[in-house]
Amino acid sequence: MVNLAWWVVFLPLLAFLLISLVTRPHRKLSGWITILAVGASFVLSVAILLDMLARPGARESAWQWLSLGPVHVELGVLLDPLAAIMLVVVTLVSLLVQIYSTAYMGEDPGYSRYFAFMGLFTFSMLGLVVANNYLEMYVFWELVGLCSYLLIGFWYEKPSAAAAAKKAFVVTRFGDFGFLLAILLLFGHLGTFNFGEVAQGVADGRLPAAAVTAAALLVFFGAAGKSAQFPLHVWLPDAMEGPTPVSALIHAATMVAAGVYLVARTYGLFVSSAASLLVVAYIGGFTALFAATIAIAQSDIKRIVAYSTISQLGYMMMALGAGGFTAGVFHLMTHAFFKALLFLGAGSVILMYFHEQNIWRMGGLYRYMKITAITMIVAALANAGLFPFAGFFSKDEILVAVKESGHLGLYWIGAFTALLTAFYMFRLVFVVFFGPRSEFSPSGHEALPDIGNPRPAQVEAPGAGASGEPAVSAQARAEADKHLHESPAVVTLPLMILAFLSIVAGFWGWPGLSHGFGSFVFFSGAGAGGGAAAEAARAAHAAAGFDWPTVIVSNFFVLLGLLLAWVLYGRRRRAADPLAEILGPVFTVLEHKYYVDEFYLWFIRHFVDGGAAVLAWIDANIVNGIANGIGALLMGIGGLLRLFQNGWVQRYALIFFIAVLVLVAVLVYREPALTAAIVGGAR
Amino acid sequence: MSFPVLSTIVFAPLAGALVIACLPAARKEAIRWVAAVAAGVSFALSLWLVFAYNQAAGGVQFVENVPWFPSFGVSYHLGADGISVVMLLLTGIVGFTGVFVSWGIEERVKEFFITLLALMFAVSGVFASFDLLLLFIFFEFAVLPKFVLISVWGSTKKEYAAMKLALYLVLGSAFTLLGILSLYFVAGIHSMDLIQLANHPFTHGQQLWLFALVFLGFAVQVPVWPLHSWLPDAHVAAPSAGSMMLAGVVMKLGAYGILRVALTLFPQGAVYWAPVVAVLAVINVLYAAFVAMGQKDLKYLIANSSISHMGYAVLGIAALTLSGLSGAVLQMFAHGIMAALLFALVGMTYDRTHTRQIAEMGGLARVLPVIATAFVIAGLASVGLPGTASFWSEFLVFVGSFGIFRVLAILAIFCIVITAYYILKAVQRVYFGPIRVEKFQKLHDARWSDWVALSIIIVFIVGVGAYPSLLTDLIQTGLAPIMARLPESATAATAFGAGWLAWLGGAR
Repeated sequence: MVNLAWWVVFLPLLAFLLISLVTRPHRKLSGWITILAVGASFVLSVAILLDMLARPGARESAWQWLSLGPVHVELGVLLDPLAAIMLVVVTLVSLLVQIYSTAYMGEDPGYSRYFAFMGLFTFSMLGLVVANNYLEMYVFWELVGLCSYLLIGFWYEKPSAAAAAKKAFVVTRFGDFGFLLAILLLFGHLGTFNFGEVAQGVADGRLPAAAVTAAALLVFFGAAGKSAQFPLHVWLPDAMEGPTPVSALIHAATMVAAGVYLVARTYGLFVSSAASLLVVAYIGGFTALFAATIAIAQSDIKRIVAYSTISQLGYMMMALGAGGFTAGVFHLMTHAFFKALLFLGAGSVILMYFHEQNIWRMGGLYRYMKITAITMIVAALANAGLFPFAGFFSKDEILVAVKESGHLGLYWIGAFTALLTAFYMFRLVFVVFFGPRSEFSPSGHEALPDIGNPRPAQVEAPGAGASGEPAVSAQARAEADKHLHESPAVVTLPLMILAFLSIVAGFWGWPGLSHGFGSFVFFSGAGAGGGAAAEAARAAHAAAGFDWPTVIVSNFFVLLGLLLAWVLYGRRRRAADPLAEILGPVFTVLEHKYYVDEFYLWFIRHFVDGGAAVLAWIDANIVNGIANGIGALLMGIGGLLRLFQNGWVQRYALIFFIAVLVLVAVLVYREPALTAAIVGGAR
Repeated sequence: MSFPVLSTIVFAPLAGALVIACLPAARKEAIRWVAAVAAGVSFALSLWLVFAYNQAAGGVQFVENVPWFPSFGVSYHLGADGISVVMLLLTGIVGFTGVFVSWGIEERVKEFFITLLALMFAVSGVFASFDLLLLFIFFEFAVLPKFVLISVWGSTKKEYAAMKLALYLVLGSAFTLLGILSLYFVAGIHSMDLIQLANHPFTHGQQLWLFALVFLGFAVQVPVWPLHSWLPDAHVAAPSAGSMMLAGVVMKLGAYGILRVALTLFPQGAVYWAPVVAVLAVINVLYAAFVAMGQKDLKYLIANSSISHMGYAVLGIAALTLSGLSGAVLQMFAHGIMAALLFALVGMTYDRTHTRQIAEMGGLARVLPVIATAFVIAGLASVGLPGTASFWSEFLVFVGSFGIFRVLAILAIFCIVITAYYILKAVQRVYFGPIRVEKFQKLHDARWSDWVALSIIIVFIVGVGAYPSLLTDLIQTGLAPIMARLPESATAATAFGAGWLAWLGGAR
């Protein structure tokens, strides 16, 4: 089975190479190559998962990559339940996204390039999943970052896309810096990169406590970069500048999943340091709430979903930080399904609706695209976490884990975030799919200005829209509506498959189920002794079944959020956000994402770019100036001396004559004694 | 004696230059092909060396040793160890691709290729020499073609830049020569042979000042801050192939000299001065990165980033660990091909747009997709992305220095973020976004000769990135004798104030 894993990983790479080197001119063929390769990887992954279910355990195979004195780097494969699950999730989501992309990217001139990058992206993520050591993980980790860069900036001619791509790369690289330091720190103490050996070393106490905490926090810093945790979250919302299927892949199964996966993979470090767990839990909890509050005030359909991703990633981190290893990983899996679905659904709307993304230019679309609407509602319910959708089970597990860990503050943050989640998801659903069509509806493909969230006061003003654009006549709109229709089957089929998974995937985690998710993927602890204790705790947890208070609390909050959304948006008459009036200036702050981006931009402009400009000036004028100055000085001295060497015999004679005069004057008038000496010497 | 492969590698470019000298200047195409063949022979043989070198045996192989001035102990002593092989391969790649990048030169074609081949001859000679005086002669000879390349085919302040380069490098050479003569007389064994000198026991005191002298001489060429200011002007003024050779190979002569002469002969001196060298290296890394970020001219940006990247090599040398030194040598190779690629691409872009101002370009990826793709690959190599050779070299430097100079290493590692920022910003401004200047709509993408150069370099960048052992195994055999001579460090390090090291958060 381990040998199969190599194929799972390298087939998509093969697709990338084949497309970029050979089949690039043949669009259709290129698309099929990636789909075929990822499809084959998916089938093999399922085989690996089934095998793993039958015979759980960790299997490893490795090949020496680089060996230099004490530094041994392996290119290896580590298969365990965690990796097996992730392989299936990644290949499945990727496969569905590729199929969907054949329609979404159908008209794009960069079709072949797109599928080549998608192959590379899938390869990188799969390599990350099966990596058996820290450095190999870092290698693929960076490659995942590279692919995100390439795909976010896929439409490189769009300035915003090019900027977003760079931002994603640089911000996550900031995190990578931490990850790399962690690797070096661990290697410095233990002399190995291997996950198992490092975990063993940590469990055996071969690392000082401070070093464990430092390493864990540095690893988490890297994970926070990729998984968009506060304060490194700023790149993810901008990442939607890429094609929508790319967003689906980034937000569901690849890029952002990598951070959570990293923490899960190196969990042995974290459990050995209570301080680091605490940091993970609180950063996660804070991020969950923070991003959810931003999501309620966004107007771009993809941006809402993007902040929802950050919030859900916060949940996962919170779970891991609270000791809920299984809960965090389970949420990673279920979230992959419904988040991919949300993005692909949003993409279906955008594709059909004149590439418009502002929800306030939509409304009442249910009529035209029922499949998209229904699957989106399923995804919204799953994301909100209502029983019995997938998100409910995983989020419930998280809340229970947090409760068991005793962080009651975090517990209530998590519960309240569930309310906000339901609220912003159904704000989106109501505004996009139900109610009247917006006054700002586009009537054609021409790009319209961004109107943000229209305020009720603006819209009530008769005659003009918020942006001052002339109201579209009813006739023109009716004409435009004739072009509205459901997306083609290659789009809706992946939606339906994902919707199905978003409904049923949670049942695998039914508490108390004898062969449930919790008995398959769990943290067994590293080293002797740790395993038994963890096993006992897990058994006790599994036997307990539902934690009824949590079930009631979370579902109550979800329903409350849903109700609030319906009150505010379900019955609206105009395309305006009543919440803006209710929250007043707070809403503006949320709309501007707490001005974090503005702060970073200010900092970079003044300190980084400014500092660079100052140093460049110093280098050009002072460091270089000194060099030129020395040159000028020598030239000057040379110029002076040249007066004595100009080849005119008369000048030489004059100098000679003057010198003699001076000499004589000195000798005669000042120093008679010296005169005597010299004259004497001459004799 | 078997086939003199090293002499062939070294003299093939010179032979090519002589043949070109006999050709009439009007036969430009013939001249170009002769240059390509001459450089190609050198390149092919250096690639053959990589596989022919017997790693199990190690040491210096393919030796050709003929007495030259026996009375002074000077001989024509060529040889190759693991380090030389890697550096010769680098020279082969950059020289060969440089010919193709220069295919479009129309002005004084004959003289141009003679100069370029002469430069290739000189630097190959440095890497293959195991006689100190021979090495120095090649080293000095390299300055001449550089001066001519810049002052004749250059642009932007070319006379100033050429003169500045010549003065700086000759100043450095003066120190080097002083160091060489001093060590010759101090050793007193009437030999310029590097292998014999390496076995001579210099006293601790001698090692301290001789290392400083020789290091200072070579440091100009690396360049080590604050002796770097010749480099940006020279690189910018030089024609594309000239910049490729400068950044790709000539800069490496300095670091190579430090390794081959200063470190090999005076290991105790190296240990003594290591903290100072490490501090200078990190200043190099960070200072030049920020200066690069502040540039408005694309070529200046790349030139300054080269200084920054060579700082990693120097840091690796200062670490004096096997991984640090291997990282340094691999960085010379990785940075060499990557910088050559970047300069080639900047040149190609400039040839088409006739501007190097970052602000004046934009959106070129649409009209120059091949050049833009190659630039992105080169930029990512510059960023040290896994999958490129630079990743491994930087990583090895980090692993090697992290345990020795903790604080300095962390500062240097942080530069991976800064590099990513300024390189990607440049890529974004130059190649992405909409086309801002109307006349750029009609630019032509890479020609066949550009394709040859770009693909060869990229194959090596990615090839070594995927399979680093190809070169690291070689480098390791080359470093073995140096490592063996490094003194038991713990005692030596205390010589220069343990406080220094402790303050830097390091321990040895």
